[in-house]
Amino acid sequence: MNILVALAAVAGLFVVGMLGGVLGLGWIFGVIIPSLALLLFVGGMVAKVMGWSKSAVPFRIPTSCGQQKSLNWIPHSRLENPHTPLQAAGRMVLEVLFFRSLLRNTRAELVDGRRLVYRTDHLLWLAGMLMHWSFLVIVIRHFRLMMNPVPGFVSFIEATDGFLEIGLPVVFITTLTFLLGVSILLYRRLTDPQVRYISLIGDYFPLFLLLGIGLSGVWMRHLDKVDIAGIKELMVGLFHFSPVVPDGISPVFYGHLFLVSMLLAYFPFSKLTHMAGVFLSPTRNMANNNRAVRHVNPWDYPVKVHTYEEYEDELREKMVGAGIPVDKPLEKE
Amino acid sequence: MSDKGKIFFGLAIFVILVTFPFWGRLSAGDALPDRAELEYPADEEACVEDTPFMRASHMDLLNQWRDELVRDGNLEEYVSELDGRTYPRSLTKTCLSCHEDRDAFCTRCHDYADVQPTCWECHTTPGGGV
Repeated sequence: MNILVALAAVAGLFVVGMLGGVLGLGWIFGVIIPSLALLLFVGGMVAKVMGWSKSAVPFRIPTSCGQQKSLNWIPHSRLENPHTPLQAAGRMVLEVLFFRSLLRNTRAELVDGRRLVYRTDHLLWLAGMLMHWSFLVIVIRHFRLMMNPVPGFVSFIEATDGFLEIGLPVVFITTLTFLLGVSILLYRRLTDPQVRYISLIGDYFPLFLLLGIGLSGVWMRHLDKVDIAGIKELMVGLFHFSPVVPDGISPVFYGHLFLVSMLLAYFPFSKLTHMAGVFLSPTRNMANNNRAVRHVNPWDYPVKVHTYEEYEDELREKMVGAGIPVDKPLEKE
Repeated sequence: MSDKGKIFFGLAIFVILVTFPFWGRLSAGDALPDRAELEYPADEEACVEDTPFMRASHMDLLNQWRDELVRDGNLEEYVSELDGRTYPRSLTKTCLSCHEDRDAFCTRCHDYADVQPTCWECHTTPGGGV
């Protein structure tokens, strides 16, 4: 059910975008909606992170994946259990760029129908790497349609990505790896019973959305080609604050652009915010130096205390009278 | 302990990166036109096929011609679906006979869209142009 709803939602959105193109609503679907979506994406992400930044972080959360810094003769696991901010930064870099935590992913399986076995499962890591890195390259490649003149690094990435020179226009390597990555992630969600059991619409929707964006892009580049110069005019106009809507742009493009707009608008309000959240993972971004550095609770305020000495001073006579032992004897008069 | 400073620094980097296409405009100035202005042949009414098709799919047509002529040895002329006129399947004899100055046509649009076709690694321009 979740799967069908998510699939229908993405298909519906694509059809809506295409209809916008067919009906000649280029201004709405080519200018207004993408602008609002971009605004919502940037504004929403900033608001989200600002909200997170208000949470106090009273103490370090040590994650004991490796040996903590201890005596000199005990090897310290610097990346697993960082002691300094630099080491914590190292752990963060590996986490953000190479998804190191995913290498710990395990899969439970019944062997021979009765023995429960936990296995390392690197497929999630591999598909994640394929999808995320390809997506980054694809986004950078698209700058060629948004910027005039095109920056050198964009052309370089494009030329490198298409260096196999297969087909005309050339097939980019990241086109294939992106679709492969998303497909593996979707396949895993559909076929692994445990994962499928906990999957919601919000898990399937982004996957179908990415797949839809990727496939509509392939469609425009390799199957039913579109007027690239006209599309670039539209996009450049958008980014130069002087929007124009050239005639003759294929409805498929409007479908593609509408899906991208939906992705941007959906980003800050969904699980996709992990793009920002990964940087604020409390178990990853803090050095485990609780034993070396004193961390004062930022919420500490002066508490009114009544120490035992004061208590005894106040009640010493009564305590002595009742035979209760006291630290300081009654002064003899 | 508060990490607000670091978080705001990171957010600033995020905003700058995401709005990157907007910043290109500032560095480029107004020197470049927002669209590719092409010079069309003065004495021809239409291209081999209709304009929308040529704009989007000229590379398909060229590839098809290449396959038919070079690989299949089909020496007959190409019959246009537009008006039934026939054309030699040739980049140099057909395309470049009208679009004489490829810098004012092919290159201008390819540069605009940042496309790097490999046509000219083998083909030459009549008249020995660049």
